[in-house]
Amino acid sequence: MRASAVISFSELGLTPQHVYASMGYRGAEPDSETCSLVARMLADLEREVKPAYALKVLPGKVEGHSVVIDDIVFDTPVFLGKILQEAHHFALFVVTAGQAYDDWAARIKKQGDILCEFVADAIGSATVESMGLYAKKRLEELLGGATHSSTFCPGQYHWHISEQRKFFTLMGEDNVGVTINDSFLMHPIKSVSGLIGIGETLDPTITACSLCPRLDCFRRNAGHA
Amino acid sequence: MTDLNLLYDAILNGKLEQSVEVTNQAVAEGIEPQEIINGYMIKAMEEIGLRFQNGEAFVPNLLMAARAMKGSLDILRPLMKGANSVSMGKVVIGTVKGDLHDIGKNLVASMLEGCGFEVINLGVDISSEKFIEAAKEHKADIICMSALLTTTMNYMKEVIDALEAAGVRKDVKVMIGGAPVTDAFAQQIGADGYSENANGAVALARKLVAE
Ligand code: B12
Repeated sequence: MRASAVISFSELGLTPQHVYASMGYRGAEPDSETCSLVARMLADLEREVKPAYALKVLPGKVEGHSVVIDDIVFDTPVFLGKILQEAHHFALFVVTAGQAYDDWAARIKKQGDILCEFVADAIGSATVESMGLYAKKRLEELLGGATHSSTFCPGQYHWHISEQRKFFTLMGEDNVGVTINDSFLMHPIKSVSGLIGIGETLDPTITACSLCPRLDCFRRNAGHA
Repeated sequence: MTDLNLLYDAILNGKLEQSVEVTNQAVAEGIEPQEIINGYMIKAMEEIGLRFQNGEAFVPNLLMAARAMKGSLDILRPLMKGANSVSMGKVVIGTVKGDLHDIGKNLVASMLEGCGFEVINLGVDISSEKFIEAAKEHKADIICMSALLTTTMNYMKEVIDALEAAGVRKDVKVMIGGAPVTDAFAQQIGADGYSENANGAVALARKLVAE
């Protein structure tokens, strides 16, 4: 099972409130100047940005603490092996704000205003986060109610970022233009990759955030990655 | 006579135009740049930094203040020479190899710049070679490294080891930061200091250049 699409910015349903949250406002309302800057920049980006997602569902299992999919053995950390133990399929996805976003952000950066640069960055993070939620919804439609885990990402905690290589091998052509470099970083920058286990006994309430010790994180339970 | 408290307010509230205007007036009246900077501008940056630390101000407030501060510093810098130089020191800053998270790093860079440091921002995914090259080229006083992934923070030790191997460790202080980094980790890898936020980073940088 696989799906991928480039979608329009309006389909994402990204609101200024999402962007404020990405900027660290924790529910507080920014001053009016900042609000109008965000609105202006959102309108500017909307004309250009082409967010995209690709997802793939493959049969797999957990051996020891390793997630194994198509003969590829991930060096997943012990805690993750336990959480995903009973999975019989895995959904892999990549979401991205896209190259057009990177180009737009690079142009803003060149203008040299640090506040605009920061807002552009927050919009990009909010875009890719919303894209992630969109892709997850799409997956849930495809799964038709099958129980699944929450999302886990290469690079989180002790799942080494170098495992992105295996991840992208599995994605193959289904990468919506996202590639990794020698340091295993994704390009376009505003991209997120992740894996969801599918299996009747999996517990979707065990999230990466619920395991994270950083209780005061401004994005706790906010849907990042 | 210019009321320099207006400059303090302008920077604190992130008003670039007002900040530039008052600075120009003060310069025209012959007030010493050093007095303007130390007496008002840096104090305003310290205050906004404190408010941010206490959750009373947000990143944009910090950036607007730094922007206003920089606007005024750009006017005052050419007027100062030699021992009176406005540069508090030179800083090379980057996110380490394997990591792309740069919002915090950029914030630290802006605050340092706002507080009078010369900052060379190398960007993200920076190798030890690039850090060393830049430190040598710019005769940096401090190297600042940022990492947000628990898997990339270990690269900071590689950079410190490479600085040793290149024989330049004694010439430069090393400051580190990023969400997963701790004081204990900084000590363990032989860094000169760690700060958990941009405000503390400025205080630490000041302390390190004074040593
Ligand atoms: C925004 C964000 C992103 C954005 C990146 C935006 C950007 N340009 O940086 C996006 C959405 C693209 C992203 C992607 C990924 N991310 Co991310 N991301 C975050 C998030 C939510 C916030 C980081 C941030 O901006 N904080 C705000 C700033 C102001 O705070 P700060 O960085 O901590 O900086 C402050 C201090 O630490 C300090 N400081 C920082 N640097 C320095 C340096 C010095 C010298 C000093 C003194 C102080 C200092 O001062 C700063 C200001 O006060 C964090 C979660 C978190 N709370 O940290 C995850 C997080 C860092 N990401 C994570 C991961 C895994 C990823 C991905 C690898 C996931 C994936 N597989 O797709 C990808 C990689 C993308 C790629 N291209 O390869 C994990 C890392 C796990 C870990 N601890 O190892 C985190 C912790 C989220 C999580 N729990 O899963 N991410």
